Amino acid sequence: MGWYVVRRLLGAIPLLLVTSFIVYSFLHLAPGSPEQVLLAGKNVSVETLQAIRDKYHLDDPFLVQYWHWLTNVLSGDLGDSIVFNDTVVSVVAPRILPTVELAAYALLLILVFGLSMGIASGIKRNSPLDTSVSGITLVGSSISTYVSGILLIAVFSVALGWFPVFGLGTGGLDRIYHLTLPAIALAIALSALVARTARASVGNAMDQEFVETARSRGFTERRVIGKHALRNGLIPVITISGLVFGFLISGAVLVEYTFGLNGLGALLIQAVRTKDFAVVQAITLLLTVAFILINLAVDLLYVAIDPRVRLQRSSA
Amino acid sequence: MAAAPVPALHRRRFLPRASAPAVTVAAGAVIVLLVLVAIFAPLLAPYDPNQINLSDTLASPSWAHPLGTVSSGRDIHSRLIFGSRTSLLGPLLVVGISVAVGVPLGLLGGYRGGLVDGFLARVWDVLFAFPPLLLAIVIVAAFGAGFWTSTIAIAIIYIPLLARVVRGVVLVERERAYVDACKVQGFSGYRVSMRHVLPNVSPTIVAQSTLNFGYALLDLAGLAFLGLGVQPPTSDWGQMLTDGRQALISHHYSEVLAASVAIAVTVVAFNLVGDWLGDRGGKTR
Repeated sequence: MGWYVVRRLLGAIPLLLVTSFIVYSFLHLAPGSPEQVLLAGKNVSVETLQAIRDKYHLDDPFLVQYWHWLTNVLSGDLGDSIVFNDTVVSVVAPRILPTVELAAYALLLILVFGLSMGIASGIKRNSPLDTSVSGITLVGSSISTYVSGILLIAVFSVALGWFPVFGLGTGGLDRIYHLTLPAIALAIALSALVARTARASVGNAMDQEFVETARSRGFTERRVIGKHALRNGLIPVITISGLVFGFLISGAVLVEYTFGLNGLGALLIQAVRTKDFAVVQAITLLLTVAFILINLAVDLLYVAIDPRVRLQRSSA
Repeated sequence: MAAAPVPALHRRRFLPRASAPAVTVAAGAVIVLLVLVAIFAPLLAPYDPNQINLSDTLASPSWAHPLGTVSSGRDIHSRLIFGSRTSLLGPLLVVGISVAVGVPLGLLGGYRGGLVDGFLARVWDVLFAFPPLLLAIVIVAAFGAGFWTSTIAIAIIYIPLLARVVRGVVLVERERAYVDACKVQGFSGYRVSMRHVLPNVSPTIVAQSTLNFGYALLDLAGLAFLGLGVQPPTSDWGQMLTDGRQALISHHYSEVLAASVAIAVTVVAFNLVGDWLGDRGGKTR
């Protein structure tokens, strides 16, 4: 186990390097010279232009530039935002918390509703409950976060006036109130994905011999399901949780834009539109690193829960 | 004895089952209808979708404008009809590009194995390391918003998805007896994979691409909604959501509802048909 953890941790490093390299390369891939890209087409003095060339070491070879950029990033310097006229770190940092809160809220909803729907219909397959869950998940997985977000605004904010249309609120309970519709919008499609997976795998586990055996030994149905069927049936749900987090991050971008929440996603879109490239790079890097680390954690959790995987992988 | 047609026993096509479930038939009909609407949009739309009419802005549904008008007086019904063109053309291109690039690479990796497969797997790992939509957003940030940039950006996400699925089924297919039979006859790896393995994995490719069409439509409409895809005044369902979101505040629901329903119905239809094809043809993800 210890050796596997070390190997996985070391394996993540090349991935972090390559993805950061790609994010950096976009500065050069974009049409126009790198300093023009960073300046978003603004006219500046020759001195300022040279200052940017110096800061980004643009007179050095490409790999040296990347190295300087990477060491700067690692020491907490992500450059300057041309639009906000401030350092990227001080522009981006305050936006992190709202996004994390939104994602956590949505994750809670997914676990409570998506998972329980999936488990219930997996246990009682072909019941009326199962049929309706299948219908709900089909439609749920087909409407993206922005569509459900806009429909939720239309019904609950505009028509009924129960929820605010816009913004983050003032914190505390008001923040939770403001984040409720966005979190629901974000959770719908992913709950459908989780429910579908849980239904299939729990249903599959219910057919296994060990469930029959447990039943024949006279265990209560509660114990058979809780201790035997679910423990095996929920492993695939952990496997797809990496996918869930990926969609959670992408979905948060769309939901924040839809509801006008000042998180990382809304800032990213704003930065793309105003061609604030340093901010785009910083947010992309931040979200990608977070995604890679979450995937790593999921992988390790998976191995911790299911020892079979550990044996399989070490022999492979 | 050359002429006698020998039935190719190892060819597994879609099972010629007589009838599909009613829901799937309905979904297929919806898709056919949508394609017809997109093709014949100029004949079907009552107005020019870009016709500005400032005397009739944000009109409620009426006989003249069945779905009302937007803030510039453009007819929502006509924009919905014309919107089907970009909204369907984008995913079609994404699916086309992902098949053209992803299938050969998946076939290569799965059939060859070894170093080639290892290298391709690393490349896919890197592309999957980015949260799905984020990579597309950076590409658009670097190269500028628009129909083509967003379409190619989304295609880049779908290439590894399809390549991995194809690789997975090829790995299984490679172990079958007919592949050995072909090898014994001295056929080249290219010929075995293209002429014999590919037809057998094609049901999976078709099923997966049908599902991908729906997802790509959602992604592209999402980019258009964020202002990074199709640009106004071109009619597009995602673009209509952005426009309609403004009108929503003043209780004008029709544009948002029309675009949401169009997107949702189309994606559900592709999902249903894709799932059905997947159940018949071969396993997908």
